[in-house]
Amino acid sequence: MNRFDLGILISSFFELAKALPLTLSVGILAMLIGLILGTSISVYRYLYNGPLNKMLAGYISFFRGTPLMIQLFLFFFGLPQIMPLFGRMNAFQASVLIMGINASAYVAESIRAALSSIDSLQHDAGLSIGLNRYQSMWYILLPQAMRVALPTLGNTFIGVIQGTSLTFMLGLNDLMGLAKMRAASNYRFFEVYLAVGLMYWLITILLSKLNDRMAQKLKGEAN
Amino acid sequence: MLKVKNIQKRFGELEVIKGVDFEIAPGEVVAIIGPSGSGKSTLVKTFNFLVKPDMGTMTFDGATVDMHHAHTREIDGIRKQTGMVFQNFGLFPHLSVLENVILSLKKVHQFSEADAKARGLELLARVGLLEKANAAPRTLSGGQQQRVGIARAIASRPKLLILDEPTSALDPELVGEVLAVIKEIKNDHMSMVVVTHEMRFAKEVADRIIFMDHGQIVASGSPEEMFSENAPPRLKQFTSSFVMNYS
Ligand SMILES: Nc1ncnc2c1ncn2[C@@H]1O[C@H](COP(=O)(O)OP(=O)(O)O)[C@@H](O)[C@H]1O
Ligand SMILES: [Mg+2]
Repeated sequence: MNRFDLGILISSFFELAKALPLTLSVGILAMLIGLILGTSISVYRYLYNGPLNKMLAGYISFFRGTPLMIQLFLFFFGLPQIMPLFGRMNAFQASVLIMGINASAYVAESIRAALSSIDSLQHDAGLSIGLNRYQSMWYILLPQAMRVALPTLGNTFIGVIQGTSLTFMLGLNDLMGLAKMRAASNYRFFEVYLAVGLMYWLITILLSKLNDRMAQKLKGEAN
Repeated sequence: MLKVKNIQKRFGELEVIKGVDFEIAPGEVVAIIGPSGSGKSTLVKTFNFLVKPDMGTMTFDGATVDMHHAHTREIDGIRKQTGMVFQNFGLFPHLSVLENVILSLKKVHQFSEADAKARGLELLARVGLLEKANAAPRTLSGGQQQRVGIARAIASRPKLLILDEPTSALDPELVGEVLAVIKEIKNDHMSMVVVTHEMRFAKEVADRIIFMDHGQIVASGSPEEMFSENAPPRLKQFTSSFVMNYS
């Protein structure tokens, strides 16, 4: 049995900070992909009706309805067997892409809900001044939907950051990957995993604060 | 200026517009009155295709379109030449008052930023809200919001202005300022269709009044004719309930 060692906890915490840029890059890039892809999907679904719409609904359902870990394994280890092209991606690229696709499903759902919460009078008013439906979407509906969806999008981002802790399984030396290596070399599992847990907790708290502040600011504007 | 023939529209089982013909001359002001649910909003929204009729033809400024099969291009073209004022204002809450007024000038009518601003400020001055140019719409009273709505609707000098119950959502003490603005813009000589329950206003401002009931035009004529003793009984029954409010 080991005695809890605060010194190891602290040194592990700072040691792990080296992996912070990698974790944040994966998280931020994935969120960017998720935002662009997810917003495009929900805008498409709002403006069009057709077979693609149904397929997109299926896409959203699949990526929200299966564990991220399975998606990572399926697309990183499984897909290249069927389509060798995908085997050329390295772990970083694959992590960003798969997590981005995963995030896009959540983003699409938030923005769909936000768009449908906006009074149809807004769209009518946009059309009445001569905007076409794409302009009305871009200048009238989407800016309002983004404000409505912001708190949910913030939570999605927090989820993405926490989700990056699975990418070590693709071989990425992110926070979790580094923690695992360190624990394997010094056998101080408790201190090292506590340190990495605290690190994610800290990031989450900071992002939540930021999110609340932005929501508060928008709420002030809306009243 | 605008002429529509045999407009029909149903929502599911409900037949809302049952073959309406309507015409308005350049500069003419037509008021549409009638009970709630008679199809007034639906009818005027077909004029700028916010509602697409199941049937009907439209001649707008000389060009004729089959309304049910109108192309996006034709619809966009007509919307560029019409303006609309809504009962519930429909101002864009994320834009300032001035931006509300000039958005179409910049994005649809290719005004430069400076020209659009100049025109926007001129319009706001005209509706008495110059000092509110940078305010957020939510900070304005209902009457002020509707005046912005009017400025926005006429910003691009449309040939036809549609007003759907522009004062119905307002507190009584705010109705006057909005009606005054509508009377003032009559000076621009654009064609105007006003759906309204303000009978005295309709009488004063309209060249012609149309009475709608159950999706049809039941009576149409000059204000004098429409409020005379010889008006059809259904119309008299309707208008008398309002005239009471003023006497
Ligand atoms: N989008 C819609 N879907 C279904 N029914 C509608 C729709 N718009 C209007 N209606 C119905 O059509 C009828 C006429 O409505 P409307 O044109 O708004 O009347 P008005 O403006 O004269 O009060 C009403 O019975 C209303 O419920
Ligand atoms: Mg109505």
